[in-house]
Amino acid sequence: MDDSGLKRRLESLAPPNLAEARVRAKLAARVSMSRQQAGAARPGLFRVRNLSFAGGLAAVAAALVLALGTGGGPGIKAEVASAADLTRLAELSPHLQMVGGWQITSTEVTPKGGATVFHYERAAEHGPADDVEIRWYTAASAEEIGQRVEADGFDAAGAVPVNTTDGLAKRFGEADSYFTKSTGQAYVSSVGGPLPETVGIWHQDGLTFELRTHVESIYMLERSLERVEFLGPEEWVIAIRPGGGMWLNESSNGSVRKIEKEKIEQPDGTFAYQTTYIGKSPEELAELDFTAPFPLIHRDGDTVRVEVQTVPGAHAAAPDLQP
Amino acid sequence: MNEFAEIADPPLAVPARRDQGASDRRLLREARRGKPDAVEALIERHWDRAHRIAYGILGDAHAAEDVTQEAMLSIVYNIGRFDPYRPFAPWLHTVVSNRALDFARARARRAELTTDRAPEIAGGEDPALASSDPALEAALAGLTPEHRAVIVLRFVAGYGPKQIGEVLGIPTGTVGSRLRRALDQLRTDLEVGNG
Repeated sequence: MDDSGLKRRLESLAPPNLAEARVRAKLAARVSMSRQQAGAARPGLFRVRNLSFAGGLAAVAAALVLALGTGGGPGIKAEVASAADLTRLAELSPHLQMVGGWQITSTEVTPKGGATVFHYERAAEHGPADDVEIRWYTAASAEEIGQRVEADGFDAAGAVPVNTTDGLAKRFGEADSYFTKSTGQAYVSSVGGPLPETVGIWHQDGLTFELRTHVESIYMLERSLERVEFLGPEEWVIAIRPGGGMWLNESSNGSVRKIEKEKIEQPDGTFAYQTTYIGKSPEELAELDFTAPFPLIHRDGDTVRVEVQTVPGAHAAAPDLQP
Repeated sequence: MNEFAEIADPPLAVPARRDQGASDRRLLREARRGKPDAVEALIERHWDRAHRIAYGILGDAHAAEDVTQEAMLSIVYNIGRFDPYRPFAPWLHTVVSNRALDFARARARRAELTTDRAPEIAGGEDPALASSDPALEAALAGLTPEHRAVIVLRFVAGYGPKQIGEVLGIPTGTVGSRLRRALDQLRTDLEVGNG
């Protein structure tokens, strides 16, 4: 073995994820500094962390926000949609849901794609409420969307697993088709702030998806990505009702109160996830409200839009709009 | 002539390093005042070498990232205790090397208890973490963590025996003997692999 050759090989020894790991480390330090300055406890590692997700404990009363005039361009007044528009919405949407206590707050579809926004009303001890937006594109590739995101000032942060679930398969106990496993790309905003914006982009079933959320780490972005669920059209129409998502996304029977997930290192050095579901008590189940009406749906040209705003402690009447 | 026979401490007073040292001190002072941009600049400057050291000792990209990130975060939390006039890189490399060695020893103990094999160097089943030099990394995996540590501090970090001894807390003579044994074994393993 030639010594100079060995020396060169040793000098070039490097892990394959070097640049992406550096981006993650900067993000970790940024969050760590902001927590330190706020007097918070030291966070754990970004890739190895215990988490506890609190589910919604009470039904969320809902108010309806009409999006008149906000869904279209200047001078165009959106119309109240007909039942046909609800059908169109259901046909063009990929029927996205976020598992674990998230409510759909708005969704919009066009022939080129669309976006659904989800809101999670956390308990006070878990910090402020969170929002996730998932956009989808019918004609753009994941690479094109990634380039667009980088041009907007985001740094590539490496590959992330995207394990989505199929709500219908879950409902009918079809374990083989329950999970769809793929790989996406993560991006982190280079703009500072205590919770930087992160983006996960992946391709699935002929569509390119872009999930955006403000979280403290890539690890938390991965946790958001694994909450993405695809529902059937009927379930999804129920899910867009005020409070409807709270019912559907906690479990098929609304009985899950809390999901605890822990990443555990195995004896062989690999990692595995352990998930524990904690059920609701009968008293908590009795508080769930499944009676909220459908929101109004608006059409503006070929865009169909619905906005739902959850307001704790208040009910609002809305016209019953059935397809 | 064996190129590795002459292993001397590299000169420390090269201009580029002096400039970087002064710049590191400025960043450390700003980091001590709680400026996140300064911490990010230190990471941008020092992450790659620190991560490569951890990777060389552990042979596992995920574990190396965890160890390096943990070392970086511990420095962020303890930055007020650090003397800004001491060079930053050796301090960081000391923390990273010792944490990586602790991790490797703990992993070896678990492997003994469970009769499982410790993970090999390389990225396992993840194709995104596939090694660019699998033969070298397999040969490194055959060394003890202590031998891997002197190899990476010599050839990845560019330290001489005295500096390696200071980083690892071992006598300079021990560094030399470990380096020779490790290089002999690496050569043998790579030749067997090629043969």
